[in-house]
Amino acid sequence: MSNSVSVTAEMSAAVWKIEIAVGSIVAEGDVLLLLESMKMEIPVEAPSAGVVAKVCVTPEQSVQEGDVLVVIDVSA
Amino acid sequence: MDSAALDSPEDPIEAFRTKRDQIRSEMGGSAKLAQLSELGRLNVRERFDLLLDPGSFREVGTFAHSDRVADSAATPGDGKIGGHGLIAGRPVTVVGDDFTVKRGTSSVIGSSKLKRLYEQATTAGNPYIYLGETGGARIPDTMGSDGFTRLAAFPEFGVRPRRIPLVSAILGESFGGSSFISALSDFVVQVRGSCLAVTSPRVIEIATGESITLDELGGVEVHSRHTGQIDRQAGTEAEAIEAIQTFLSFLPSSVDHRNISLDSTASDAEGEFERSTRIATAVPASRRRAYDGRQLAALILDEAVFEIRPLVGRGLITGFSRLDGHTVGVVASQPMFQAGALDVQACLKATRLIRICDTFAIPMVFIQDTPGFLVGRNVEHARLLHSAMQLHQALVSSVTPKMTVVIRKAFGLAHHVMNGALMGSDLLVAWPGAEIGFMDPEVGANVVHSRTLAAEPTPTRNALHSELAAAMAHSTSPYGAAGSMTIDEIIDPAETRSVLRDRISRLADRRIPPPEARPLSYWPTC
Repeated sequence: MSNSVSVTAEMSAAVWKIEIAVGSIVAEGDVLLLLESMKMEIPVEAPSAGVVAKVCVTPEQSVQEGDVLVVIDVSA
Repeated sequence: MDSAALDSPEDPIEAFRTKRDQIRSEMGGSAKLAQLSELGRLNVRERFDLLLDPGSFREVGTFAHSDRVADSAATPGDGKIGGHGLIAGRPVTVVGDDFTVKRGTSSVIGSSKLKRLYEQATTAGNPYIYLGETGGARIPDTMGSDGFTRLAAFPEFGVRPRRIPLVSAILGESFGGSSFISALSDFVVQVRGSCLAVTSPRVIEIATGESITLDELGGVEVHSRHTGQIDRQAGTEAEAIEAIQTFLSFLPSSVDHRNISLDSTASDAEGEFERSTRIATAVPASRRRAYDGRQLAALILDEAVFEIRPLVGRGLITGFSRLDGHTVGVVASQPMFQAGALDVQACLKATRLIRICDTFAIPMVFIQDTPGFLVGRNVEHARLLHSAMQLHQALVSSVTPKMTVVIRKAFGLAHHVMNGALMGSDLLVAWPGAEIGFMDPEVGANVVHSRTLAAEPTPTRNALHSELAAAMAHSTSPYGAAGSMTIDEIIDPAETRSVLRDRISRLADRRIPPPEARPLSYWPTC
């Protein structure tokens, strides 16, 4: 992959809802998925525009800080 | 250079120049300098070059050396280098441990130099910066009662009220002196790969048999994520120096200087309109949906918050920003972490910020969206009660003007200690959707109606709970508080920035109490 950005979890949480799939075209700031922690839904946004290359998590999975959630190909 | 003069040892001026230049260029010897360079680290003079405006360093104590006769030739500067200089044109005083001279260890003369420069910085009213990596007190100098008792434990650095900003960088292995002074500082940055501790792993192992690495004992991860004993971490020495410069750009030079006010950085009318629209839409309609408190704060203030202790107490953002060009201390909820709930470290860092702001007469802005304090055994046993009430005391004792905007949730004591109702705020406003009350209605409904809910058949229990919570939520709207004048006003979210800008510009020329009448300048740094 030439130019990709890994989107990581900023905190320990459970994956609640995934809003994109591999191949989705996203703009900077689009919500990729929602995490759930302390009864709050925490949106994870695309740091830059691109195409979703990989979705590394599934709903209800728990993630730790630093875990890669989504990889976005930004080479286009 | 005139070689005739060099050849003439009788010429005192030329001899002096040679000696001075030699001390400054050779330091503790070329082998030690090479060793540092191989480790990819800067020596203390190179650090000063990065920190200070070019050519502005004026050294004090170049010719100091150990008072032990046997060491006098081998200890140029006696392990500490220091003097005065400029950062962005503003006077500062800098000192640093010289790793090349006995590992920067502390002995009598070097320590006198730190003290002397601190006196000069205090008299002139300029910030004091310590670039630390001392190996601790020097042995054998300090083993006996004579040497030991002459090596003072920095009494002047602990004296309150504080009169000048004290800043520390931990740039190597720091035990003893530089660690102590970091704890007495207003701002501490630590570079990755360094160690901040009272006692070194070597001494620990000899004393107790405990084996521990430098990183495990006092690395940046330990302090930035666990102890909270540093304010920022830096990847490189250059980044650490930059953090110091940024921190000082927000602070006045001393308690006798007025708050820093740059020309207003507000954008034109069109830019401000766009900003106000973004502020109004930054907070999701659903009360369960989090958002990034850093982004909201950056929209409301002129610029992103320069955060203090960003990786502990993460439900709360504390740091510095500007509002209409004026430096402000910022305490803002971060709903992304712990739903914005306060814990022990959040209280400690908020207390620290209030202390700095009160000491240096910097106004503060609080942005509230908090469900309350974290609950449970862990936080209770980690001294939540005392940390919360320490923050309480700092808040109500401080005299610097403090403004609060309640964005969304404002529950329990967390509302009060974040500059809430009747806590001495200069301005307290709320958005129309704010919820202010003793506890979150969803929790409150469970507590108040526990028997009713338990008696309800399972299929309809959730619906009844929502109904009961909604009834409670009705009373948490801000109109109750506005009706009794315990908040000043309910504002349109889009006018948040203009309300705060208007207030801070009115405060800019206020009468400021003398330093002695700012209670938190007497407050300890840790």
